[in-house]
Amino acid sequence: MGNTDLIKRCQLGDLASFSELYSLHRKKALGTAYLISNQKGIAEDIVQESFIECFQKIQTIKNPEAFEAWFYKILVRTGWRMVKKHNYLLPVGDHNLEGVSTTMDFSSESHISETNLIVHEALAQLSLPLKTVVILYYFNDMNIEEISKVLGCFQGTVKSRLYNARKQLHDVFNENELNDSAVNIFFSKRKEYGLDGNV
Amino acid sequence: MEMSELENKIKRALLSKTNEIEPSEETFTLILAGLEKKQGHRTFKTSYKHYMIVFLCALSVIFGTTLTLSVDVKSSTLELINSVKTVTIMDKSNKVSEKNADEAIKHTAFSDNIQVANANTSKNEAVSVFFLQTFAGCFLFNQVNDLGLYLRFLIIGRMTLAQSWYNNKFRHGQVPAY
Repeated sequence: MGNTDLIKRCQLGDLASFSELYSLHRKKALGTAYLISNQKGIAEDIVQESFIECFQKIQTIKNPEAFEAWFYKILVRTGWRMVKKHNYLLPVGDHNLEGVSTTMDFSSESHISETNLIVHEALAQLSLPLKTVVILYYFNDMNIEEISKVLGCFQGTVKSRLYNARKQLHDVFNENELNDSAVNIFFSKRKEYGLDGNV
Repeated sequence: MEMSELENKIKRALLSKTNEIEPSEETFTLILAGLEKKQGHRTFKTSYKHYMIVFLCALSVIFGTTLTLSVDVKSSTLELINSVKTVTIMDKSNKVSEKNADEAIKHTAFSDNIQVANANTSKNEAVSVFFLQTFAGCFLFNQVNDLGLYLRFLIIGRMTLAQSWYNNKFRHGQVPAY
């Protein structure tokens, strides 16, 4: 059954169709919520809240083809609200711990490369609006127009946010590359001068 | 670093991160439970609104009744009767005659002034009806989701009210047939 039919049935209050709609979108929605919040528990809460609101307000959709933009608008706003609430409830000192715990999760997975780790750390440093634009553009494969509809802002704003986010990520990468090269030079020089640990 | 390379790295990193989590089966059950909870809350809210509207309607009726009772019927009746200059009378032999309004007629009218009082108090009842209409409008606004439709109804209602007021005031209820 197509997305449009499902939405029309949901508008009539059919829960089975809503379940199907949930199955279609849950993975992407959870992924987006997880990337926004950085925590699994909060991500699940965001998805739950968003789908509840979605079912309650689905009758207001006039064009079912615009469902995705409409739904992600709800999800992003719920995500922002919950992240802000969570950050507000946490004491100031714990904010850094959150980032560290996320980093530790990644490092525990052996197959995740160092590059991914750098990207995650860089993304964690971005502000919520910039991070959201990056997530919607690269993870949800939305174009600028769709993102502007989701965020309720001008296309120019989306472009500038994307540009700033890329710039920040690029700087982080360059910094890491420089550090890597410096480390490599340091170890090669040590070997040259016979200061290697094995000697 | 090239932009395409950076973009590929970001995409890969985001995908690898989201692969860590899997949606649990319980989530949909929790969503349904949340929906039920919110539905119950919504029902309570709606009934609360209804109570408020009923209260306001009752208040408007009381206000209208108070206005009606507070009218000095005697003085308003006298005022009305004083404006009568001539009286047309038809006696038992079907004779029609016009007389000046004398004291006797005034006295008769004063002792049997139910009709006149009714005419006066109907103005105040109209106030009450106006209040009721307004609150019924509030009720409609609460029920009809389509604001445009509601506004159309409201405008039609107000125009009808204005037309009837105009007819009563200037044409004394006698509308010419167009």
